[in-house]
Amino acid sequence: MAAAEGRPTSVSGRVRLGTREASILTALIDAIVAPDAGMPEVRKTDAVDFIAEYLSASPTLNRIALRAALQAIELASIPRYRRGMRALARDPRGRYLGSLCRGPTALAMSAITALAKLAYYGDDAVLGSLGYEPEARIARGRALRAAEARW
Amino acid sequence: MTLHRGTARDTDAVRPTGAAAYTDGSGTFHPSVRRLLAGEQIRGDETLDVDACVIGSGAGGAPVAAELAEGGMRVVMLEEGRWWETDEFTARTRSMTARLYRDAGQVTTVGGTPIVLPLGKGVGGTTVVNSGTCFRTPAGVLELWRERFGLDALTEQELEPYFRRVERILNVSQVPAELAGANTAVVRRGAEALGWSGDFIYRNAKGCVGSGVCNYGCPTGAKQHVGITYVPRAWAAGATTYTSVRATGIETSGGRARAVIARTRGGGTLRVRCGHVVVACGAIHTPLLLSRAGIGARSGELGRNLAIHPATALRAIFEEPIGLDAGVPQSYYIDEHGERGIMFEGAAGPPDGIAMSTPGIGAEHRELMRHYAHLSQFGIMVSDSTRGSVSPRLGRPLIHYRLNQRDADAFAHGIRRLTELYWTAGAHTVMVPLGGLLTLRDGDSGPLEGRRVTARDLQLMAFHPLGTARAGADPASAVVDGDLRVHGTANVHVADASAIPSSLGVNPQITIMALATRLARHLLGTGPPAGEPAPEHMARPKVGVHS
Repeated sequence: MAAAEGRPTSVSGRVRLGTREASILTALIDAIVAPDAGMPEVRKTDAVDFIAEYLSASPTLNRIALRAALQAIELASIPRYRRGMRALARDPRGRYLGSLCRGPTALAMSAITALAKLAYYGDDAVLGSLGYEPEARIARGRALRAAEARW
Repeated sequence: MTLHRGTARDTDAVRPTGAAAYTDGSGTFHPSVRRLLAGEQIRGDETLDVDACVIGSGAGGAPVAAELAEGGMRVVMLEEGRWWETDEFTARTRSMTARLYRDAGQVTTVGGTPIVLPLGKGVGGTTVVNSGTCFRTPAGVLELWRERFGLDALTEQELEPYFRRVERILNVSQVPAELAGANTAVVRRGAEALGWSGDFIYRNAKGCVGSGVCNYGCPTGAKQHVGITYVPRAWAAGATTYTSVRATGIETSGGRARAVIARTRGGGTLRVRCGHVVVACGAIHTPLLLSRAGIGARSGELGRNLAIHPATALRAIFEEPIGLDAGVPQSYYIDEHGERGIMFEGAAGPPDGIAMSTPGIGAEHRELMRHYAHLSQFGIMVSDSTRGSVSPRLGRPLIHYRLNQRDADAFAHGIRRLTELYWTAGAHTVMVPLGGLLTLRDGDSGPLEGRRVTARDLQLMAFHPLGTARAGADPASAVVDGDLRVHGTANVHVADASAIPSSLGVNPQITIMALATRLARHLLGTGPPAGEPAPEHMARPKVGVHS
């Protein structure tokens, strides 16, 4: 389960996301993948936990850049919308992020949106909704390896 | 230096490469002991004395280490990553990307359109996460190497016994149609209707059941990556693998390497005194290590001449179900446009990996993902004429690569032709990664016709960094010689993709392994392997040649 607002996210890796970071990420991912009624809400997935794991495995500079970018994305909506990104409803939040995907911030946003999509769609419930069952593949592999003394 | 000529016709034995060979999972080799030491546990200073120190355990390092050990040398392998048990593979793109890939898959080029360059990190290197595609070095490429780089010995005949050996050890065999997946079926249907040349791919697999996650660690142990083939052979012959150990320098005196210095993750230092140093860190990291050691820089070519085989992928939606996660993700190739340097190869995978690279945000992205079950995806790989470079920056590699217009034109051609194929195959929508996302419907390729494509319009990835310590006979223009010895040194060799002096136009893993095997046999003075059976069949795709 991902962090709900106000609850810090912790993972087994070195990176711990603060409440604010987790909240920004939740809002960001929600706007990027825009789950509808048939899909799990972002806060009910482990998308934010994954990003903490991902940051732990990232080079230091990339980690710093991504965390700084999250803060910048949150604050840069204020001049236009008079509130932070998290406080926007999904539609204006999506339009705001869409505007960042064009122009000078496009390259950075390309990486961030890709990460958000991976984080959300990699949750087991989301994968299952698309018919992908990793556990079945693992079980089949385990059985074959045991039967045939594979690695 | 004596070169050992191949004796390809020293046996009439034939090795099966058909469906039975591909799907039979029995007969896996296991050594009696795993000679695996974790660098986390080494906190002090240690000195080792061996005959050969192999830095890296991927496509180049593992075969060299195994061959040298089996030939009687005392061998140590140094590996920066860790050993992964098959049980740790989760069949999940997300977690495996963070764990099995260097920098969590964030290695990227700079200098033009950023190109993500996924590299594996761990025992087995990138072979743990590659697609398992096996093509021999194309004849035209070898000819180029002879003409342009003076690599006269590297003929098809010379390399034949080495390829045979590699292919036998890896069980290189052809994906059967029933494991190729519906993604391949629809693309093959289009190719055949157009009369285009293509075939099922030969892969290093044994007992494959089409789990569909080759790029994230094979959960059935079917993919015969070097971590479970060559490395165990090396262990059985007495070699030891140190994991979580990073080589930081090579001590030299009198033109000879004397020792390799490495830092362990536990905070210790390893000093490996050795008679031979084999650098096999891959085309991104090998030039950095050599440069740091002051080795191989005389020609001015170290770190230059980087080719990467840039790639992109088209997607198409069909009425019929596809299921991108079912079957071998890269099971078919089309070489119809190979002479223009364009190869089409399968590029399927689980939903999260597809979601990550699907353009758009919000409802647009969600609607595209809603079609996942009916989605096909196929890749376009270009044999690049662009050359980039690798240099150190803040202790890390800075990879500079700016795609030239010739290669962008090749992508434009490939995109048009693959779109044509998809229409022919019956797709109703084709999504082209040009300038964001260009969605074409109902057979209308109009928006592509006459459109000039530049590098900035493309969304690219690349999987095969090559050439940054290129081989060549002339020390003035090459880093290593035809036997992979660093020019100007007595006992430092390079056994990885950095020695490959040009684009191959095909996936490079068994070229790297064959050259590494040849190097090892050369160091042992044993000549080419004898008695290796000929493969029943092997692919010989049409490939364009670029210097």
